[in-house]
Amino acid sequence: MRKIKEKWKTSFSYHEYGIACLKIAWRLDRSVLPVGMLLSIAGVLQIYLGLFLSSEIIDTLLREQYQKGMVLAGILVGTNFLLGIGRARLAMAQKERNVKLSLSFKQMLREKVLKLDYESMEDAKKWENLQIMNCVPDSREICQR
Amino acid sequence: MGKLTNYELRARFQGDLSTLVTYYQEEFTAVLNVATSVVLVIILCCSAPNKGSQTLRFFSQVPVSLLLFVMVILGIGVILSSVMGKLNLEFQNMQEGHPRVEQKLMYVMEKVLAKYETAKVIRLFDMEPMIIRNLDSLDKENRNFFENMVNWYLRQKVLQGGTGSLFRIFSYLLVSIKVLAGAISVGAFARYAGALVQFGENVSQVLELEPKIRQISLDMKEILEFLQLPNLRETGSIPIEKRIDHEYELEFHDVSFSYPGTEEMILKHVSCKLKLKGKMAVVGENGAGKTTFIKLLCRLYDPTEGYITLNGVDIRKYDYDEYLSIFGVVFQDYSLFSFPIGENVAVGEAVAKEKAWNCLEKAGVKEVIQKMPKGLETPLYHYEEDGVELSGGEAQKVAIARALYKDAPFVILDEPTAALDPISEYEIYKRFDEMVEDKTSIYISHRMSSCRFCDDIMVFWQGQIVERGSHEQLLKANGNYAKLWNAQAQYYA
Amino acid sequence: MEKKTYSLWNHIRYFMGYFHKYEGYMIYPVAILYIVCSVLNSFLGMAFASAAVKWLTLEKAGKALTIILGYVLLLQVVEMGESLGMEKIYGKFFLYRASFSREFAKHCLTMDYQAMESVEGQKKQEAARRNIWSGNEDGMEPVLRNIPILLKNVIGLVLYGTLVGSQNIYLLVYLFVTALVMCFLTGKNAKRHTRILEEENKKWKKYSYLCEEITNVKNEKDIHMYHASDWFINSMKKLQGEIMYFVHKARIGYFGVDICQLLFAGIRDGVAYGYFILQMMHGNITLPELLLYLGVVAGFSGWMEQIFESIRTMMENKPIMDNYRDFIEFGMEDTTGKTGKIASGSKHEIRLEHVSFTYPGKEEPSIDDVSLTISPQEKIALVGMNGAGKSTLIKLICGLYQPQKGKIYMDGVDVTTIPKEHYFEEFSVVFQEVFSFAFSLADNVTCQVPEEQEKDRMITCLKQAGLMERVERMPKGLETVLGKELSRKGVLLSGGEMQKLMLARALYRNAPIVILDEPTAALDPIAESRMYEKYYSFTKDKMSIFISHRLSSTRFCDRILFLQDGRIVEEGSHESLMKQQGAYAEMFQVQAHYYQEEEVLA
Repeated sequence: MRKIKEKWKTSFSYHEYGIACLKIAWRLDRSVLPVGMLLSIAGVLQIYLGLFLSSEIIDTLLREQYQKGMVLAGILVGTNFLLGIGRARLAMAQKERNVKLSLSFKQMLREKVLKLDYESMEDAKKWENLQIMNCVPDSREICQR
Repeated sequence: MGKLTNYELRARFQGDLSTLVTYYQEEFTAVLNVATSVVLVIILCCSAPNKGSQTLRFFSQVPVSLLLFVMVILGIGVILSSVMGKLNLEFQNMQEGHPRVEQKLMYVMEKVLAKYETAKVIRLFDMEPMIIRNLDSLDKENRNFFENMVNWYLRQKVLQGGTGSLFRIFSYLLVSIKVLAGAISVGAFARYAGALVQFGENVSQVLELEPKIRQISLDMKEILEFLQLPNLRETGSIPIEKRIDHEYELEFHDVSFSYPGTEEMILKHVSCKLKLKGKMAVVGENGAGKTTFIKLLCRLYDPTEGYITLNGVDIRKYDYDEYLSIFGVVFQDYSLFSFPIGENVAVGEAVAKEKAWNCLEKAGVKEVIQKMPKGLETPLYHYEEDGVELSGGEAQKVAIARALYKDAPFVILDEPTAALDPISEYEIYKRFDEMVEDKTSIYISHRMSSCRFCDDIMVFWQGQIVERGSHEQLLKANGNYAKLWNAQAQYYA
Repeated sequence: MEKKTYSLWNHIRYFMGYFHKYEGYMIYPVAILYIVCSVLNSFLGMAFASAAVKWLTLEKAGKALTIILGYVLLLQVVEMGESLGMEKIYGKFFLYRASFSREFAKHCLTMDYQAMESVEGQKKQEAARRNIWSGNEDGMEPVLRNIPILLKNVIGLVLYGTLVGSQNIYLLVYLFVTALVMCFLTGKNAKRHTRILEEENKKWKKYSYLCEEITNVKNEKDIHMYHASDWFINSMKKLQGEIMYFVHKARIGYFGVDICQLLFAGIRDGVAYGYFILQMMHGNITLPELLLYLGVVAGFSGWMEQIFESIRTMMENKPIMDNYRDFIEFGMEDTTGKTGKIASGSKHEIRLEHVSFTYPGKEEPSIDDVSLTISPQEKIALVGMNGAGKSTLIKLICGLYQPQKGKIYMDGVDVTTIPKEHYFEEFSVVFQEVFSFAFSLADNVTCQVPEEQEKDRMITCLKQAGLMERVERMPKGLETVLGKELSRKGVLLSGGEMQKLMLARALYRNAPIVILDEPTAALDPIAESRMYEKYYSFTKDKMSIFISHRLSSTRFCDRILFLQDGRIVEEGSHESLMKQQGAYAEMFQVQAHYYQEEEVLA
């Protein structure tokens, strides 16, 4: 049992670095994470509201309550529209924030490079690190719509 | 050493910080979704039947449906974890191999096919059949790899689609039974079937996201480590005395040096005093330690043994930035940047125009720059819209102007004339006399001709100073210097 | 630049023309399977809710369960068929693109040199490369791959359109019109974004440039020595602001499009619900039918969007394919009428008559009315300042360039009439840039396919060049791969060894005319003088032309030509030129005076 627990722990240890990165993101831009969370919530909300309302519509129509069916359909279309707009706005904010975050991160790395001494730069291992930086694609390359 | 090439790295990297944030956001969505659907599924399983046949009622009982759901999930989990592990391993191998393949293609493209320098040789030596032959064998190798890749994706699709299908068949059956047994309404079919599908999709979404997050997190780890690196040069704090008379005296005390992590001594027990306000030359064959000598002097490296003093004080005790400010260096591989020429000379946004023009004039490029449409504001290189390209000689002169603008007491020229034709070379040497005035200047060169301008010549040989003196003295001594000199001079005798 | 363009159809036929050679005919059944499964999958998936409601309201539970189970199973099968078909199609066209690059390579290796080297040629080649070398989303691959996708979507659209139209033609019209409007808007916005991106990319380019310069170790010395960090960071900050401005501007466009889309979809759904519920109220349709039609209405725009998407992808990639075709037809060697014959491998005389050459786009000629006769076994040195036209003259002589004015004769035969490959055979040229290909050493020395290589001669040449010792120490001898680019076990040669390799290649070539274009510029003085001697002994009984701006080398030569602004201004032996006290003498003095014991010039 303990072994399984160990294995579980090590196989997910990378989240440690992931969280460290999220912290950096939080430090660089306070709004990135909240915007993302709001977007997630809005998305899930829209899916399940849709499911609930459409099953209600089917039931009311089966009971031949057409008026109520109309009203429910109206609510479904209306919420879809409103949530859709909310999500579009949030998505816009998120995309922009992401580019900004990407830029700030690049800049942060470069500031570190400029502070570093020459000897460390010529060192092969660290040189590799430097190259890595140039190879990290930016959000522009990835989420270009 | 197995250094990764730029290309391999670029292929390895799937994203940066913002990508990671996006992935985490997507994962958050998926988890939220799974949680909601689980609640719905539990509600579904907990609804009790009230009509239908015996079998229907049995299967739609609360404990039975719960048990069924859990068993199906576990079953699919077992299938996935047993096959997925293997597939993922294969994928990792593939991912590691892929950049190499792409890099080879890149090499063929960039270095064999597209370069006109190679093209002339290819034509003159009629290499086409030979190259095509080589490319074909490379293609065979690559095609093998690509086919494996395509197959992997196929197999992965089968696995994913298969387990997904199993889960969906089960879900629809479960919900149908519940409806038929009267546990839920017909309309609720849409809700619960939808929830189950959502559950399946989002679980696989999490499974897809995890490796991506893993990849980026581990790559980021290296960058996080890099951010933690200490600065080796923050050792001293003494400010440098500003002396208008430029009386700075540098001395090497038994300095030895090997590059960190290597055994070979590049410099061995070098002791010398730099003459004030003189013109010095450092000569020697390639690899004799000339450039390392300069790097140590500029504190780009610290000596492995021994120490260097400035006016009697170990240079490590000075504030690093201030120490550097006493040198104006034109390295052999100097760099200018894609900014306005003025900013390049001043190395900053604040440009003292008159001074900049003055320095450019001394370096001998004033006329060229003046002819440019925007003068000092003209940007360099094509990264700016109306950027100009300078010829090798002009760029070097701008680099020299930059060194002069700094107004530092030491001016160092590292093989400044390698790229120039004889006339321009002569010009620069002649000018340099005026340029350095009351400063100390040091030349490094393997063109021996430059030495004639210098009062003091240090000859490096295998990491040591083997001879030192004026040109005449050294020629008379008939040592290494004389040998190098004669090798070049014989043709002109 | 004139550029020929073709229709999309022409492109498809052209690129499919090579397809069967590399990939066979399997693609057709796969594509048909994919199309069938894909249409069925979307339709059955969409109709599932309707079917479920229909059968679940049945009294007989057993029958209902069987039917639903059957339906679900069928759905899974077609879904699997679709995704496997898609995967296979992607794979096939991807593999095809990878193999197709051979056609491109062939053209690169055989096209006319002058055309290739020209700015136009380089640009065309760069552009053509995108067709095969820039991933799955550029050029021929997405176009070909989109053909089955387009077909599938058209079939789906027709199917859904008929279903909607059978209920209410106005609804169909609304759907059609809104889809068109949306496509128009999306297209407009995409164009707007491209325009913004053009500006934005300039900033990005600068930004990436800065990022790379900062992390480039080569610059680190200068950045440190001149305290350039604030300068860089400030520029980055400024650029960041500018980039964000553009990003925001672009995103607003997308937001607008999203809102329109939502609005149209809202109206559509509202109207559809209302209309079909009313129909149901009047007893015209049943609940399952209502659900089916709602699904059809919602799905209709999906087909439309995908069709436009496919067409857009194809149209976007058309220019890339145009570029490719343009390049493939550019610089094709014209072999007609080349009947001139020369005695291969014998001694030749070369005569230039009033030859002029101007680089395209330049006004000043690089070679201006040069007349010259070089007799067999003569040793010529070309000297002059950078840009005097030395390299151009060499390229004219060895046939890489054609003069715009004047004629070049070899043994009295007009060079333009001699087939290129025969003419090239008479030359052995060593250029300033030394390099080897990452193929085997034998391939690099002989430049021939393995069957034609003469091993003994190769070894003799390697010995003469002084490289054999090194070769013997290599892991696989003559078959060792040079450079690590293509084989991890490859061997790297040092600069000096590379020089020797060039010499060995020239020796193996064994051509009657030897041309050396500054082959020693990168060497230190001692290695340089050793190399000179080797070349000297090798060119003894051949015609040789030697370029150098180190005048020291001229002493090996019978005749020195001093070039200035594309003309031969002085000509003669070293001694006679020195006596003339002209430009050559001056240049020699400048170099020589450093080396002379007493000051000559003050």
